[in-house]
Amino acid sequence: MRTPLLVVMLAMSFACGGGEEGAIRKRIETIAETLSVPANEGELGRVARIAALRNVFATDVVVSTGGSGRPGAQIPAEIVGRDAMLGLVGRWAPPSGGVEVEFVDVQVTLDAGGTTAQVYGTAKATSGTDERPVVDARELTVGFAKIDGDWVITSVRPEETLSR
Amino acid sequence: MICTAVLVFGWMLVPLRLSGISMLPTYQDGALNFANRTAYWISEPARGDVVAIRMAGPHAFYVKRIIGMPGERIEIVAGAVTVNDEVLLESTVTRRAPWTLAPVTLAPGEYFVVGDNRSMKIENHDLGRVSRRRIVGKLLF
Repeated sequence: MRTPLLVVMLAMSFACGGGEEGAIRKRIETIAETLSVPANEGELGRVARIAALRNVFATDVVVSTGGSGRPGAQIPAEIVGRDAMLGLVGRWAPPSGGVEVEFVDVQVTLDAGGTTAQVYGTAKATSGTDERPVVDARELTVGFAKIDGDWVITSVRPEETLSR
Repeated sequence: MICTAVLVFGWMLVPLRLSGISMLPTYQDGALNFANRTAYWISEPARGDVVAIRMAGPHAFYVKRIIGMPGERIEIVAGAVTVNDEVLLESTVTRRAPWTLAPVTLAPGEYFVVGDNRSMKIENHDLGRVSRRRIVGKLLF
């Protein structure tokens, strides 16, 4: 009786995203919470949030922004390194009403060794008010690596839903 | 009744809340609508159709109008869309900035989509080629 029950429980844990995939999905939820900015965030909260983001990115993270990269552009086409990334986040002035970030339709593909993974999904950022929300959504492929027991982001690349 | 609801809202009609101004004046920001999946079961998307385009999965969509069909050459000159070098008449566009887009020839299975609101800078408007497999359905109304 116990064995079938154990099998069912194991199957359920995998179905609910057990193992490394489950850990990555939980990590993504945490990242979304950390990237979200509460309404009227104070300076202390902002500093704490940016400090928490330090644990999210690998030191040599590469973020492709999809920007033009032209001289004078506000955001470069590619950001290399965690410090550069956090510097950019620190300079960003979010709307006073805050921003809620969520990742939807997430698909996780682990490599054979189980130490790196590719995550494909849609990032949604909602700002504005409850009555008039402003939603921006982008498809992303995010590279993860397990470093010192934690899954951290090694790369971010936007995917073109519509291409010119 | 539950089975009918699952069938209708799971397979036939996808509920959507439009967000943003790219489809003004045809669709207002915040409007509710449905993507009709059955619209393209026996026919293919057509020019002028407003369609839902899926992103990574079923929880985020673009809503755009088809202006270019597979194999066609699309260009925008001073805000006017040309299809195979002929100006496209677009009665749904009321505000038009002088957009310029280099000619694009669509591959088989590719459509060109754009919003009705052309009053903004082209850099701030999501438009372009989209694969047929991403088109989920036609907006119901």
